[in-house]
Amino acid sequence: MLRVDPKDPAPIWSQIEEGVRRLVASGALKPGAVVPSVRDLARDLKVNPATVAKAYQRLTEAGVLVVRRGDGTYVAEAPPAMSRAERSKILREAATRYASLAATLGVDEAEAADALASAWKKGGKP
Amino acid sequence: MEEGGQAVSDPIRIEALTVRYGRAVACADVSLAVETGAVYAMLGRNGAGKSSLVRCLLGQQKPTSGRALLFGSDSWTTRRAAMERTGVTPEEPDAPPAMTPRELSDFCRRVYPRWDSSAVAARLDRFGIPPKTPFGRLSRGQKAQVQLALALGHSPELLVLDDPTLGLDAVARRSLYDEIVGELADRGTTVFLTTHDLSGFEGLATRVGILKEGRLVLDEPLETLKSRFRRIRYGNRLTETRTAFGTELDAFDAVRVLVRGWGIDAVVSNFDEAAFERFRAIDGVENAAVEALPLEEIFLAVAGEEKGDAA
Amino acid sequence: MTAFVAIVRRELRERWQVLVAAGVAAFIPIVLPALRRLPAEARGWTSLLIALVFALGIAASLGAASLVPRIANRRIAFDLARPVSAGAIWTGNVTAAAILALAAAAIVWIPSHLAGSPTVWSELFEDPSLSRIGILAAVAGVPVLFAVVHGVSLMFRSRSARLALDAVVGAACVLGVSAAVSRLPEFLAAGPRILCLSGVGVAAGVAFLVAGHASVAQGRTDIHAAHSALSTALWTTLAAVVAAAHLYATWVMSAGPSAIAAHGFWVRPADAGPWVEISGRARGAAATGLYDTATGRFERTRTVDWRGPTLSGNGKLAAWVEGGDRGAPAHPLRVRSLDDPGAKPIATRLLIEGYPALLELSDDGSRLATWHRGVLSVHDLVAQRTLVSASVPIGEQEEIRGLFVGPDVFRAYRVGDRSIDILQLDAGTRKLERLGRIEGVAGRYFMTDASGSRLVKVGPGIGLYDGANGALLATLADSPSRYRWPWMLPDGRIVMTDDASRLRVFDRDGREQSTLTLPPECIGATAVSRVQIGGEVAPDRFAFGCTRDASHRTLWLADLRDGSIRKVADGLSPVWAFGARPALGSDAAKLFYGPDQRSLVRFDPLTGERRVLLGRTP
Repeated sequence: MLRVDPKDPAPIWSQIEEGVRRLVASGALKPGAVVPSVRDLARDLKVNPATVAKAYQRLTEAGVLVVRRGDGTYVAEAPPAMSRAERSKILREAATRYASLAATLGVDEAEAADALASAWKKGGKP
Repeated sequence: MEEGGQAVSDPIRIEALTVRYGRAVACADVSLAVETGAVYAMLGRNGAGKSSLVRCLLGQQKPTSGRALLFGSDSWTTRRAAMERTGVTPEEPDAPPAMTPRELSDFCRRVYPRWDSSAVAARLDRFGIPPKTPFGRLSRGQKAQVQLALALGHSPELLVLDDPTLGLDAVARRSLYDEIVGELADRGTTVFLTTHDLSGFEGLATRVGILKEGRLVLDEPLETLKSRFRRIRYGNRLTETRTAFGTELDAFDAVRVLVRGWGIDAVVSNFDEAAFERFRAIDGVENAAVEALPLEEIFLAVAGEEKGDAA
Repeated sequence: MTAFVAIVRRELRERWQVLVAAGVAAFIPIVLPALRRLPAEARGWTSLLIALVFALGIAASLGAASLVPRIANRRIAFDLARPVSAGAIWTGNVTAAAILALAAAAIVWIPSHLAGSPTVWSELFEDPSLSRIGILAAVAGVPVLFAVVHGVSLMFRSRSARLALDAVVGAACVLGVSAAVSRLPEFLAAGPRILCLSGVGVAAGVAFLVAGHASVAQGRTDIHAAHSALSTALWTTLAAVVAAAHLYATWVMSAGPSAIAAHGFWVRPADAGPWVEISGRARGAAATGLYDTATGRFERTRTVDWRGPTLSGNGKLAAWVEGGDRGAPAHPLRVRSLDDPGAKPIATRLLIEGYPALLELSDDGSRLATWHRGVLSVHDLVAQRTLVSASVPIGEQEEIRGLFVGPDVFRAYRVGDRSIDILQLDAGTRKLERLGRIEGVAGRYFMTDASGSRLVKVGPGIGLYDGANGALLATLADSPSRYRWPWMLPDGRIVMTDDASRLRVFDRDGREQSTLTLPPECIGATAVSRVQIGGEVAPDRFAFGCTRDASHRTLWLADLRDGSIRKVADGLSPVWAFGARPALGSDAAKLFYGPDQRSLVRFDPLTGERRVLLGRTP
């Protein structure tokens, strides 16, 4: 499910946060589903629990996860719907970065679109 | 209370520590601090001075100059009190070989003000250690597990682990990580460890130090380390305007540059996006690609060894 | 404390097998004598020997194996990574080793003791009371042995050049101690010598224990630092011990006359002049020496027992033979000029064999007579050579006394229980003559005057004889009485107590001159009063002391001109020595012992002037 990539320059907590967001957005983690405890996730990923805790805290503040005392951490019932404008902005920024990277590699639009399509197939779903 | 950017109550503070054996220098002017709750991974090749550093840190050896402070006090003079709050696992197992794990726990119970015998027994059980087998007859992995169990029995505020996974198989290593992660989760223990197993502890470390020939050549949070190191690969084709290459990587503080058949393979330590854009625009630079590095590769580049260390 | 207990328990648990070995060995002394038909005593010796071997062997092997290897291979880090103090590690290991060693010894010894073998431990000691101390020393020696073996094995194991330095300093300490001890010769200061050696032994044991602790506390995982800390602690402590031993030896042997006078002491004045021989004990050692009562100068002489320095008649020269621990080889005769303030003792070329029973100087100090093992000799001290020797054997109950009657002529009296032989050795003619014999006497007490022409013999009566040929000149008293005692005044007159109530005075030919009645205070309630004549302080005036009991002494001045006696002091008694002949008005005539003989007082009976020279008067 969640993976932490040592080669990814992004901080681990950021990778975890992104990963959870992706899982929630793709529906792999359904609203109300239980999320692994900080300790268990830290164990699985072999990362510092504080790092996991930081990611979970950010997700809780963002309303993606909700903590029920004594019970555990769950996906929020109604993860916040991003405003269209927000979603568009994030999507456009990501697309720009992708296009720029592709150009750097000297890849043409067709090949870039191809790669995007297969990634969508693989990574978008569990 | 703050003092030059370091809180006085840091569990570990090493100040200008130098260790000399005759004319050979094991540690040269090493200074670092480990904050409460941090996990500090000290990397270095064999002979880089890690063992001397750890011994001086724990008050087991007197440095030639400088000092090491545990919980704010010189560890050479206040060793005994500091050890009440510190758990230690050595690189070489040093528990008396004739004692069984149960007897070892018993010994520690008498010696520490607080000792949770049942938790230690549960831990040993989890590791699958036979409690009545003499320590000397356990396998390498079992010995390491027993020493870790003994180090955790008094719920220390600080753990000092000297190459805790050295010589361990994957199963033993895994169980060790799990215990450490459990401690971090339950108590937020501060950890100072030396290691060759960079991939294993990469996730756990919050701060990294690299010891090279006795000098601390690097000491920073893992996050910033990973954000500034990159691997840049590019082809360099001589053109009419460009007749030679040599300074194009200067902006990035290259630490290792390899000239291959297809081009240059460089590890740089001062990467930023804008500078990379400019770099790509240099005449003659072709197919420039950048990727992040795992900690292992960063270490190899900084510590300067071509062969990989034992994992 | 709990860390210490934990360490002891751990060490005991690890090494309990030695006790099993001891248990097996305990059978040997029980079984062995039965197999070989040895006496029961052999059982006692065997069990003692095996017990000692176990105790010392365990202490030594643990000394080498407990800590030094763990420092060398750094495994001591296990204990150091725990809240265990270096003190707990050291004392824990020492204690555990001691417990194991002593328990093993007990396991070996007790069963054979219960099986009826005699305790032979006390037979190792000359003095039975020392056997208890011996046990204490053996028990204390176990941890000390541990510490010593720990120290030595650490010195070798660290493989550093410091070992050579340790050897040198160690040798220097040993030499330092033997130098200090040699300053306390057995024949003079046997007690202080043993005290010094014991003190050094105990201090050395403590030094090794302290140094062992330092090696753990300062060395920790570094064997070189451990060696360094051990050496520093050990040698500084031992250097202090050596210094203390020397200070002690100096203190003992530098005791002066006031230290001697603090306990019972004895003074023999020269016939003239202010010097005396003073003898007693001070600071645990026998102390004898020459003391100048005028200036307080003191010179200690290393003489044996009662063979202290002899002084010449004119009080200007002293001569003596020094003692030694190795019996009596030929000693140089030593002399010191007494009237020269800057004089030092000189070892003359005269080698005197043994400690002569007779050592007499002529009045001017130029000649010396000695008698040793049947040989009478006269020596010239100016030329430092022997002038003449003659064979003068004596029987078992006899002794030799004598005096110089001429420049080179020595008159010797060979006195036995029944007779006195009068001999004369002339260095000029080199002849030994037999001059006469006095028969029918009892006891050995007699006096001669300064010229040797008159001899007064006590026993059975009191007779006055010619000192040269032994002819009886007069009988002063013919029946024995314990209250009759003669003294000779410088000019040859004889003063004699009679019936404890009178003093009778005779001239040098035995004719009675006067009788003085002793005052009642002198006589005493039970009429047992001791009278002692002092010196003649002025013509016809002499002092004498009466002792009624130890606490009641009085001093009187007798005036022969008018026959009067008056008391001059309380508590003083004349200094009197066998064979002394204080000259008229000499310093010796004015020397007195104070009350309880705890002080020496210079007192002029005529003027009443008094000065305490040594000691205290209450």
